[in-house]
Parts: sequence; structure tokens; C-alpha cells
Amino acid sequence: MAQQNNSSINTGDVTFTLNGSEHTFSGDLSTPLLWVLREQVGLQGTKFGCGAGLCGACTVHLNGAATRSCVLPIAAVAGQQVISIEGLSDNLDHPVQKAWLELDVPQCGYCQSGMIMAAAALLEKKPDATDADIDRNITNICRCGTYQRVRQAIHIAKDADEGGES
Amino acid sequence: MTSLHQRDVSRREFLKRSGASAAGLALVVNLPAMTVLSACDSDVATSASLGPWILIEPDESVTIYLGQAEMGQGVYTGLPQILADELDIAWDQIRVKAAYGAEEFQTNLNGYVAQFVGGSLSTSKFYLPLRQSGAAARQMLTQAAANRWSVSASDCYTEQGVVKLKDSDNVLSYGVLALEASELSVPESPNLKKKSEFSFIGKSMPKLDTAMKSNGSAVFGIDVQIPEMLYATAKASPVMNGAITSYNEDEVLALPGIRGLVHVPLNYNFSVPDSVIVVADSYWQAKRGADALELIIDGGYNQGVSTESLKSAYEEGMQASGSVAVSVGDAKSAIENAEISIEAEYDVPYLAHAPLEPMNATASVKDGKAEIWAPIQNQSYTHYALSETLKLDFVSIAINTTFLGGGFGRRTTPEFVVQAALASQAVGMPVKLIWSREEDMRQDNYRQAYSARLKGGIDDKGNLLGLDARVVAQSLFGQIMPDAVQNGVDESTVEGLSDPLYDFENLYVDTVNVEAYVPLGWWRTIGRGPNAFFLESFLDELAHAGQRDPYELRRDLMQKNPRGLAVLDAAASAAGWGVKSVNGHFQGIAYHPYIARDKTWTTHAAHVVEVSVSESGVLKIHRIFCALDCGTVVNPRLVEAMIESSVVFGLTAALKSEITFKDGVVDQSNFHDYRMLKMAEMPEIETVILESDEVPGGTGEAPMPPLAPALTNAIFAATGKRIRSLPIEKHDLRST
Repeated sequence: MAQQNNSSINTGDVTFTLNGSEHTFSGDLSTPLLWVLREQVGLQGTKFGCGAGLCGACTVHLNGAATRSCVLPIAAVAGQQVISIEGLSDNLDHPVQKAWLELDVPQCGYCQSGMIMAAAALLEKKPDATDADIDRNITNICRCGTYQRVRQAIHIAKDADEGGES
Repeated sequence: MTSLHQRDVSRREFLKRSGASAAGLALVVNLPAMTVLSACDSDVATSASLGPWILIEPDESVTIYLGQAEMGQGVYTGLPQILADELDIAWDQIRVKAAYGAEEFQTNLNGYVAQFVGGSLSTSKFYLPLRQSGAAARQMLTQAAANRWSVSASDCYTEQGVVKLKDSDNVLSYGVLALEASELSVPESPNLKKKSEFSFIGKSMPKLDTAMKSNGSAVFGIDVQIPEMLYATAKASPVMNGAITSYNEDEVLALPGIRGLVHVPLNYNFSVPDSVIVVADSYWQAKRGADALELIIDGGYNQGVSTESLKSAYEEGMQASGSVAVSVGDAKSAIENAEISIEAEYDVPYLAHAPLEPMNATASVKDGKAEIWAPIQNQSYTHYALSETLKLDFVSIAINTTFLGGGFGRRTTPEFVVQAALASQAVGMPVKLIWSREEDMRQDNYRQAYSARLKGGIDDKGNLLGLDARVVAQSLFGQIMPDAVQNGVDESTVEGLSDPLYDFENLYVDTVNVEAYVPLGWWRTIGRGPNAFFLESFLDELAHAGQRDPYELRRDLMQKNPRGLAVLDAAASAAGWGVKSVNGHFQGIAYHPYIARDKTWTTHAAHVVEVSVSESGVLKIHRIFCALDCGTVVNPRLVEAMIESSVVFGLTAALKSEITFKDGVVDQSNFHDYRMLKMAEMPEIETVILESDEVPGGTGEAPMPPLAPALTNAIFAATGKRIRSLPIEKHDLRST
């Protein structure tokens, strides 16, 4: 393991927009957005599952696109727009969340923030998402196995919101 | 109702000012002084405890305490549902709070008494106690109203949170009555509702935690925030149970944000590995520190462990002399004298739990007191472990259970809590400890490999004459509760083969415990997953050897097992079993009875799996038909979810999962090399839940065991290739 010293860590300030409000992070610029959200900002909804972009529990929207925040250094977020699960709706009334409630999708629930963010981004991009679109775009891991309900809920959300996301 | 509230305010104010405490009003609460009953937010004098389960507030909300940790299995909804039905309140009055301490929250499993979740036993253990508590409280509330109206209780009745007087407009809400009710004596045997009177039990009531799990507000262990807390991560000896002899302390301490390094010693009793806890101002800084740590390891007895060395040990076990688990009739002779006899060997690999929330715990240890917040499955054992390792009295330690991001048996051991607590004690600050995924994968308590050799004899009509099975495995009980190993037999090694509900006239099962020391733990289904794979695969092989339909052969063997037979028939019927092949789709069938470890309930499960395999060997699983009889069903939606969950967990293991070893270290480290089933590979799952009035049985594990063999039986039907060694994806299914 190469020896690390203070000088190999780049620090600085990064300002970005989160759920409509401006935030400034000061510190190690390699810190993943995930940890900035959870620790500096204090929002716990975005989860840590693998730290390697493999599971999707950390999914947020970066300028509208589903993005895995555990492998996104905060430096890359400068000036960007981020939406986390907390900012998806004010009152659990995003069509995806309403469908989730209708079918009681979550089991342990740990993957669900990421799952919902991935589903919301998919429907924003493809309001007529097919099962094949779901297969290709929802690659989040659910260890509890809620996939069948997730798929059904995406269809319900899609059908409830024929005209596209507001 | 509003005016009655106001009339009572003065009494509550009096109680508040006079310092009357909830303890004076509560009925049966025997808690050590410091135990946190997840203290209610409102002023204790204005709420009323009606036993250890129920707290009624003046605003009519009813807090139902939950002793069983919620890990996705649905107890957060299912258990309150039972109590709320007998208590007779509206669904939206329910508030749920995790709690620990009262004796009533404990389970007695074959003499092991503790508050813990596991073994699929929550519903069966708490069904009657919750019904009795709810019914008792309802009776007391009724009596309190009757006292106020100077009538007899039989002139009163309840209706969703209020007590009414017959032939009158008199109404009093539970919120108003609760204080007085709590002072009445608790009826010993309250009247329980008849099935026809259930308002919630048996219905798919909406889950109470869906909302908070859909907006990021549910608090998992990893989400706990304590003022001034530091962050930490752990790095244990990569060699399993190895010792850390030294490390580059000064180098790591010099990194930015590092607040301390705490060396936590190996502790077998509590599964604590020899580990260094890196404490820092943030997880990212702690992780940097852990990545920079160079641990010098003395590997000890596991230094040379490899996949190959373990395989050799298992092969030796297969040839060694075994301990007899079951001997009914004379299987060996029956097989020797049979018209046709066959033999097959099977094996399943080591597996990791890999819950999506990595191991974590938050601890605050200071001035001789400790409080922890963690996602844990065994509260009592954690409490004991902390008392021993922190060297503090029981009463000085408070335990708070959060939501668990998956359990599967992994969080029954307290090592991550001990690590967090010792780190906090050392640095004098609250510490949130989070394991990386790599640490979680390599510091698991694994599901051990199992190997089996089965021999069977059939007559010229394909009827089974005798079955002889040898199961070889590292012994789980030998590691965690050696007294439970009787005459060389570890029940968890043979369960599923030693207790079949088939009509086997001649059955012989013996077992050998492999001398190996991979750390082991409870893993969903324990021995039933492996043994159902062995038995149900072999029955399929026997069916084919005797030219019998695998479904019909099983039917013949289940004539004395009506519940199992009904489940098998339901799965076969749902799947349209019997049609040779439709569109290149082939089916396989399997059945397994999950018998409770204390034999108090059995849940029967059967699957038919429908697959196709292309010429190039690509497997596609189209549909899975699952039938389940779990006795009385509290909430059908929760049971469906457990079937779906078991199928996905089981498919992942059957298709993909294998933990391998080199030089005493686990090879796998993250989800790229310990792969999970994903959406795109999901088959359609159809579930049939049979109606029953039997005692409620568990559902969190029972649907899993028949899954793997039903799948491999289907693959055989499709390709003629018999898969005897999991995972499936290591096999070439190309048509030759």
C-alpha cells in the first residue's frame, strides 16, 4: 500500500444544489457525494451498500439522471443539481412512491431509496417504459427480493401518470 | 369526546405535578433501571401503560411495543396487527416502537431464553401472548368505562378504540379511560375473539413501515446520529481468526481526520475477530485510514485454508465412519436387495449472508455507562456481550434496536457492537462504526459447505424401498453451542433428511463433522436448504430410474401427510403439471416441510419451476409456482412477500453463490464477485397460500428449501443434465 500523506489529498470548496438549496462542502475533494449527503448535509435516506457502484443503494438524480453517488467524487458535483430521495416529493406523493405504498413494495427497505430514485429517473426518461426498459435500467440489488413488486409498481406509476412527470 | 378530554386534563395535570410516574401506573414492567423502553415522547403522567406491550396516549394513539427486530420479514406490521385486533382499535391508531427488556419480549427456544429474532419463530411465539395482552387490555378498558357509568361490564362493548354502553349514547375513548384502566387488575384468561370476529387477522392490512421506507426517513443502524459522534471503520485480520501482531500505527494516526486507532482483541465467545478500529471525523477519512493500515498477521490454524484443502477435508469425511442420526427399518438391506439401486453425491458451497446494509453499530460509552444503537437480531446476547467486554453491569447498558437492512441470521452475533463500544470507550466519544462491504464479505460467519452421498433402492414399479444418506459438513453447533451436539450428531447438519414427512419404511441417515475452522453462523434455512436440495434431487433421480412421474412418486409417499400433500397438489395444479413440454419449457417439482426447531409448528412448501435451456446452454427461468401452508395466516400480503423473498434468496444461492478461500482468506469482496440476482433475471412468481386453522407457522425461511431442487430438476427435464453441485452457473448446459 503506497504511503499517503496530507499533501496527496486535495482539499477545497465545492458548491452544489441539493433538493433546490445550495450547499457548500469544504474538505477532501475525493469524498464521494454519498458521504457528503449523509455526513456533512446530514440526510440519511441515500444508503451505503457497497462503495463500488455495484448495488445502487446510493442512487440520486444528478441533473435528472440516475447516478450512483458512492463513486462520484464531490469535486465532480460542483455547480450541479442533485436530488436525493428526500427531495423527490414533499409528501410521498411522487407517482412512484404512491405505487410503492399501494403494493407495499419494501421489505427491509434498505435498497428502496435507490430503487425508487432509479424508477423515477426511468419514468422521467421513458414515460412508456416497457419490461425490457425496466430490465435494462433497474439494475439495483435487492437482497430481500422485492423485484416482482418493484416491477409491478413501476407499471402502476407509469399508468397513473400517462402524461409524464410533473 | 372533546369535552371529556378537557374534563380529564385537570386530573392529568395533577398527576404530572405530583410527580406520579408511569411506573406507578404500569401493570407488569420489570425492567432494570437503565433499560430504555424507547421512552415515549409525551409526558409519562399523561399516557398509560397497559402491560409491557401497550401505551395509550390521550390523543388516542396506541403505541404497540415491538420486541422482535424488523429485518424485512414484516413483524413491524404483523405482530402489532395481532394485538390491535384483540384490543379493538382502528388501524391508524397504531404507532410501533422497538423495545427491549421486559420478560414478555423473550422467547424460550428449547430452553434458550432471550429476546431475539430468528428461526422464523416470531409469529408462532407471540401470536397467543399478543392476543391475550390485547384482549386483557380491552377488558380492562371496558371495566374502567363500566365503573364510570356504574354499570356492569357486560352492558358495555368496544368498537375501534371506544367503549360504548348498550342502548345508550354513552361513549368513552380508550385515551380517556387508559389511566383508570391501567390501575385495574389484569384478567388472567381474557376472552379471545372468534375467527369470525377478526377485524385485522387474516387480512392484508397495509404495512406500517412502507411510508418511511419510501421517503428515506426509516432509521437503520447506519443512519443513527448522536451529537458529537465520531465515525469508524474496522479492519480485522483477513486470515479468518488470525492474530494481528503489529501494524503501522503512527503512519495511520498521521492521516487527516484520524482520531484514534483501537485494537480490539479476538474473542471467540462473541465472534469478535482480532481487529483495528480506525476512528475519524468522517467515514471517508476512517476508510482512508483503514486502507493505509498494514496489518502484520499471524494466520494461525487457518493460514493454509483454501477451497481445495476444505474440499479434501470434506472428501475425507465422506469416507470416514459416521454417527447415526436416524435408523428406521433396514435401509441397507432394502437397497442391497432392490431391483434397481442408484447412488449419487451432491455438494453445496460455503455462502455469505451479504445483507445490503453492511455491519454497523453506534455506541456511546462514558463514565461507567453505555448506550448502543444498532441493527441487531439478538438483544439479550448483545447485552451480555457488552457487559462482559466493557466490564460494566447489565443495568449500566442500554440497548436500542433500529431497523435492520436485512438479517438472514447475520446479525445474531454481537461483534460489530462490541467493536463500536470498545472504540467509544477508548476514545471517550460516541462512535458510529461502519464496516466496508469488503470487510462485511470477508468477516462473515458463513453458511458452511455440505456434501452428501445418497443411495436408494426401488422395485420394478419404481416404488421406493430404502434410502441411505450420509451428510458431511463442518459443524455449526460444534462451533457455537457444542453441548447441542449429541452422539456426534449435529442436528443442523442433518435436518431436512433426518425428519422427512415422507413415508419412508427404511431410512438410514448418518453424518460426519468435518474438522475445519471457517467461522460459521446461522444462515437462512440452516441445514434445510442443503438437505432439501439433496433429498429432492435424489427423489427425482429415483423417479427417473423407476420411470415414474416425480410428482406422482411424491404423492405416493405423502399419503400420511395430508397438509404436505395438499401443498404439493396445489403447486402442481397451479403449474399445470403433467404436460410434457410446452414451447420448449420444462418443469421440475420439489417439496419440503420446515419443521420448527422446537417442533411446535410446521410450514409446508412446494415449488414447480419452469425453465427452458437453449442449445448454447443459456438457462431461462420463466415461472415459479409456490404453494405454502403456514397454518393460520395473519397477513396474506406479508406471507406472499416472504415467498417472493425466499425465491429470490434461494435462486441467488442456487444459481450464483460460492465463497472460496486462499491462504486462509476469503476470495470474494464485493458484489462483482459475489453476484446477486437482479431484476432482469427474475422469473414470474405465482403464489398459492393454503387456508388453515393450524397454529401460525414461520414463513421467512420455509419457502426456500424446495427452490434449488425444483430448479435443477427442471434443468434435468430440459437437458438430461443432472446438476448435483451448486452453484448452477459453474456448469455448462450446452447440448452436447
